[in-house]
Amino acid sequence: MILEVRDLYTAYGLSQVLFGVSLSIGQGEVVSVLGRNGVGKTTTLRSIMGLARPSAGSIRWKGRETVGLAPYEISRLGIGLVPEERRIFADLTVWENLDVARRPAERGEGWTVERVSDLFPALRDLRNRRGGYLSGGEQQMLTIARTLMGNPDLLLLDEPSEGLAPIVVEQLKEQMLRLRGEGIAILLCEQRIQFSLGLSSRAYILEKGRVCYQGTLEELEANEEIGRTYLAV
Amino acid sequence: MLLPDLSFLVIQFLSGLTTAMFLFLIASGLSLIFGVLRVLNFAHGSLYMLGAYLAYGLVAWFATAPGKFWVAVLGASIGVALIGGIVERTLLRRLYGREAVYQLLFTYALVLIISDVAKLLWGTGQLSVSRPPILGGSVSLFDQVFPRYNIFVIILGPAIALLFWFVLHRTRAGRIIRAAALDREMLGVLGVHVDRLYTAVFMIGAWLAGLGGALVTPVVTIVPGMDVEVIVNAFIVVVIGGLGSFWGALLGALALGQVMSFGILILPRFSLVFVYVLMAVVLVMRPWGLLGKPLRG
Repeated sequence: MILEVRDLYTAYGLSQVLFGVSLSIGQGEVVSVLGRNGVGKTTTLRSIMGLARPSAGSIRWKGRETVGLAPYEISRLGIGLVPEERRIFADLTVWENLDVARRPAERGEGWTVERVSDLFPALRDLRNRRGGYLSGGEQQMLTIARTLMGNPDLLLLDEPSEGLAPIVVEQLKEQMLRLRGEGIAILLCEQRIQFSLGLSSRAYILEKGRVCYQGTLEELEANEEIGRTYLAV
Repeated sequence: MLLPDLSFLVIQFLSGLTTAMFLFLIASGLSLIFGVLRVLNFAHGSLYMLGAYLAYGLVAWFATAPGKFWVAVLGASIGVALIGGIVERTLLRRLYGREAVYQLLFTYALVLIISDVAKLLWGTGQLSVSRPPILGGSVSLFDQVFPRYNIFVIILGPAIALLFWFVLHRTRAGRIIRAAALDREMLGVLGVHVDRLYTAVFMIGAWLAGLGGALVTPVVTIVPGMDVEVIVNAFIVVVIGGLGSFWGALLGALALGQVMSFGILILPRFSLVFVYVLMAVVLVMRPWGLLGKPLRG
């Protein structure tokens, strides 16, 4: 396992959001974290990235404890977050957004503007367009591409299909399959199961800040009751 | 009132331009620091005054050396940048998470401290620095004379503006600074050590203030109180141009320089009125400044 999260408790001020979340991801594995709005998916990702400070629990990345490290340090260790709000630098062009995030790979050829444009061909024609003038789908591609420029070994994807047209979602899924083929591990948060089907092998379901179910995607798909109870449809 | 002749107007325009270039150096640093750190640095005028006093001290130190003025300008501006860096790292940094009023109080405290330190070190008298020999004397323009040094300042201002623009838009460091102004948390998530970036940006802003202070020494006398005078003017510039906007700082400085220069011709004793009228009009029409943006969040 490259990432092991154990008994994570995180609060924002006085409101406790996570009540002992545990999960793990293997090298190159795609794992889903499913659950409705407000169950703690985003907080789990923010805790892993160092943006929220857990009050208890441990996060081990490649065997090393990362609780207490700053986000930039965690990023440099090889974890990349793609936030739900996308957070494109609106006044910077597409190319500038990518360039700002560039960091040489520790081994191998690493991602370049050229390579991320191969993965997301739409970005090639938009390279001089300002981030603020992109469509939702284009922004989603740019925010993933931008995170890739830092050559992460693990991608934390927060609801990437949110607000996108079905055809764009299908396209995005194809692109995530290609990323999986590159050997990048992905922790994928979604409210619905559809985007995870065929992409991830295992899933955790979160409910009120706890993991209430874990299993393979096939088991989950077969169990309609769990889907009805804990997921958005 | 008799209409002054054209050559006189040209000279007046050029002295307005000279004033504008100094205002630009101060206001651009103030604007840069606000744009990235979101801190309104009251002590920016004090850094400018420190630049002037340090330049005076260095010119006296190198009394006999050739090119002492240029050495002093370089040394003073770098000295102010270092002081700025130390202040940001050791003190200002602790206040980022707090409400803006703490930062205002802190930078205002700095104004008082720097002002007293300057009085201790250099006294309360009027000090002056002579122009570097190479830029001494005047040139004649349309039967009028205009100091050569001021022409140098008028050329240097746009040169620094261009350099500034080039760094911000054509280098990776500049792109990272612009990204930090938009979303510092996201930039950290992408692996940029934003704390160090903040120190660097504060030092660049302080350097610009120190440079302005050092370069102004041959033009004005160095006195206690020049810090407050210049910070008021710099605030007017950024209110007109838009706080956080680079071109706004340039536009605001050009506008204020001309209003000060020509206002004095029309109403010699109340020339400041025009400055405040200009500011009031901008505030009513565009509260965020001519080239600024409404503040987010």
